[in-house]
Amino acid sequence: MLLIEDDPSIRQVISAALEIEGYVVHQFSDGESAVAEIAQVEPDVAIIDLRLPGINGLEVVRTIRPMTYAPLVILTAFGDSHDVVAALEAGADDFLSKPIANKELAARIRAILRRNRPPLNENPDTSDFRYENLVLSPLRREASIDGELIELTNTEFLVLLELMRISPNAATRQDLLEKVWGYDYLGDSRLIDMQIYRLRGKLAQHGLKDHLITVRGHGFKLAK
Amino acid sequence: MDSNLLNDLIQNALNRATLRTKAVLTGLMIAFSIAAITSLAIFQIAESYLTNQRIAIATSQVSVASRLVAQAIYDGNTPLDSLLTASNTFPNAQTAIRQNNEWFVSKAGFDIDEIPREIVNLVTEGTPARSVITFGENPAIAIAIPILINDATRYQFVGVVPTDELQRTLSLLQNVLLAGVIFSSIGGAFVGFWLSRRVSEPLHNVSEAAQRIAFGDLTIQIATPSEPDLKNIADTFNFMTKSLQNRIAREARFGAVVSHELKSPLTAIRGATDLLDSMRNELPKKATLSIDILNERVRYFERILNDLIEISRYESGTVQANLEELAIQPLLNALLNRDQRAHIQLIDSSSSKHSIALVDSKRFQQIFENLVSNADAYAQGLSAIRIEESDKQIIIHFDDAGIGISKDIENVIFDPFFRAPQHSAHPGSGLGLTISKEHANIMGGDLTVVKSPDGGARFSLFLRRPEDLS
Repeated sequence: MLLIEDDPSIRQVISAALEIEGYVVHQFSDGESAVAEIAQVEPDVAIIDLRLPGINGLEVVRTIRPMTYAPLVILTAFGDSHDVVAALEAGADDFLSKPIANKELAARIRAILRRNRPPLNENPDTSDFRYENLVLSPLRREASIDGELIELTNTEFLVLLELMRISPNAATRQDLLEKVWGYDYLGDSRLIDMQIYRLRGKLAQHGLKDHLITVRGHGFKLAK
Repeated sequence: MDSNLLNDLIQNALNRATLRTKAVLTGLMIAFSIAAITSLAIFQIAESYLTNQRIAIATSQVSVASRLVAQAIYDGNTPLDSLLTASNTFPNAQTAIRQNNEWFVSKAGFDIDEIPREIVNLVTEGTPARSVITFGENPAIAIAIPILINDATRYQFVGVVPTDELQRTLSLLQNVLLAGVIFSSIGGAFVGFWLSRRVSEPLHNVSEAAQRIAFGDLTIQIATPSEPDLKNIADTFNFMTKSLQNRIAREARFGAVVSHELKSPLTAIRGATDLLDSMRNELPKKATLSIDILNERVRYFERILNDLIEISRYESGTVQANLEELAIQPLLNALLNRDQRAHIQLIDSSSSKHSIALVDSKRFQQIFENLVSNADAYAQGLSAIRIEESDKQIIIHFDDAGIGISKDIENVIFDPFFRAPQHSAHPGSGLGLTISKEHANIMGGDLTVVKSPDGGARFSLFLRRPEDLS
C-alpha cells in the first residue's frame, strides 16, 4: 500500500494504524518521489493527501492513474470542496475526510481491498457476463467488445460488473456504493456519477453508446 | 421570502411612488401658478386697453354724430325722426334723441329704458356721460351728449355702440390664455415626472442592487449615471460591494486556512488517540482513563470544529449543493435501517411511493442525523416521520411527542449558537439546527418548526421536486 502525506505525524499515525492491521505501508512525504517509485511498489491501494508540497494530490492522481488499476483514495480536510470533484474526475476512486478514526480508515481500506482482490467477485458463479456484444470475465478481470479489450480501472470494472450482473434491472446508487465501494450506508453519490461518466466514455469509444442509462431517482442500468 | 422584507419592499414601492407623485404635483403647481398669474395679468391689461380704445373710438363716433344731428336741427330741413336714421353712420350703432321729454329713436325696438337713468339724468343737466351697458342682451357702450341750439332749445342725444366684437376678441384671448395655462400645467407635470424619473431611477437601481446584496449576490455593480451627484452614489455603492466582496473572500480564505491548520493536528491527535486506544489492554488503568477522556473530547472538538467550518462557509456564501434526484422514501428507509431506528414509523401519504426530490444526499443525511439526535436528546426520540407532497415540494415531517417548542423560542431556534436554557446540560454548539436549515435552503427548500400532531415538536423539511416531475 502506498501512502502520500506530507504531515509527518499524520503519516506515522496512519501507517502505524494500518500496519497493526497487517498491511505493508510505503510512506512518501511528497508526490514526486511517490510517482517515481510507484512502478516498483505496485500497490494494491494508494492513499493520497490532496494538499502536498510540490506537485499536489490532484496532479499525483492524474499522473499515476494510467500507471495502475489500483484504487486511488484521496485524503482531504475538505469533504465537499471542488478539489474532491476534480480528483474524482482525474480518476480517484474514493475519498476520506480528515480527521478520520483509525478504525474507520482500516475498515474502508479493508472494504476496498476485499472487492479489488481476485476473483473480484463474491459471487461463486464466475462465468462470463454478456450484454449485447460486451463480454465481461470476472475470472480473468477482462472486459471486451467484439473481442477488443477495454482498459478499465478496478472500480470501473466493478461498477460494470454489478450493472451487467443485474441487467436488465437497474442498480440503485445505494446498491452500487455498497457492492463496489463497500459503504454500508449512503456514501457520496459523486463517487458513482464520476465512475459512470468515465465508463460511458470508455464504452462509447468502443461503439457502445447510450446504453448506460440513468434511472431518475433510482440509479443506473444497462439497456437500450 | 421573509415577510418583513416583503413589507419593506411594498413600503419602498409606496415611497417611490409618492416621490414621483410629489414631483409631478409640484411641477404641475409651479407651472400652473406661473401661467395663471401671467395670463391673468395679460388678460387684464389687454382687456382694459382694448376697452378704453373702444370707448374712445365710440365716444368720438357718437360726438361726430351728435354734431351732425345738431347741424341738421339748426338747419331745420329734416324732421327729427328721419334725422336719426341718417345720423346712423356706423354699422349696428343706434341713436336716440329727446326733445321736450319725447324720445325719437333710430330704429324700432330701441328701448330707451335700457339706457341707465344716471346718464340720462346727467345729460339732462347738460353734462355728457357714458356707461358700459347691456343692450338687448349684448354688451354695448351708451354715450349721452347734450345738444344746445341757440343757447335755448335743449336736446339730449344718446348713441349706443355695440361692443360684442370686443367681447368676442376678449373671450378668444381668454380661451387662448386658458389653453396656455392648461398646457403649461401639463408640461410642468411632465417636467416633474421626467425629473423624478431621472433622480429616482438611479436610486431605484441602488435599492434593487442593495436587495440583491442582501440575498448574497455580491457580484452586482450598478451602471454609473452621468449626473455628478448620482454618479457619486453609484460609485460609493460599487465601492462598497467591492470591499464587501473582498472582505468576504478574505474571511473565506481565513476560514479555509484555519480549518486546515486545525484539522491537520486534529487528524494526528485523533489517530494517535485511536492508536493508544487499540493498545489499552497493555496500559495501566489510569492511562486508559486518560484515553477515554481524550477520545471523548477529541470527538466533541471535531464535531464543533466541523460545525464552525460549515457555518463559516455558509456565511461566506461559498457552499454549493450537489443536487440529485432521489426517491425520498427509500432514502429515509435506508437511513432508518442504518441507524437501527426501523422502529420509527415512516408514514408516506404522497401519491407515489417513490416521490422524487432534489437532494444533496450528504446534507440530507446531516439534517436527518441532526433532527433524530435532537429528538433523542430532548424528546425521547421521534414518534414518526411523515412524508407529504405538494405540487412543487416534498415535505418530510419529523414528529416527536416531547414537551414541544414554545412560541417565543420558535423564532430563534434556528439562530446560530441558540440553545434552550433548560438544555444547557446537553453538550452541543447550538449550530446543528442552523446548519440543518442552511442545508435545507441550499437544496432549494426550507426547515421549519411547528407543533406536532403527536403533541411535541414537528420539524418540517421542505424539498423541491424536479420541475418536470412536479
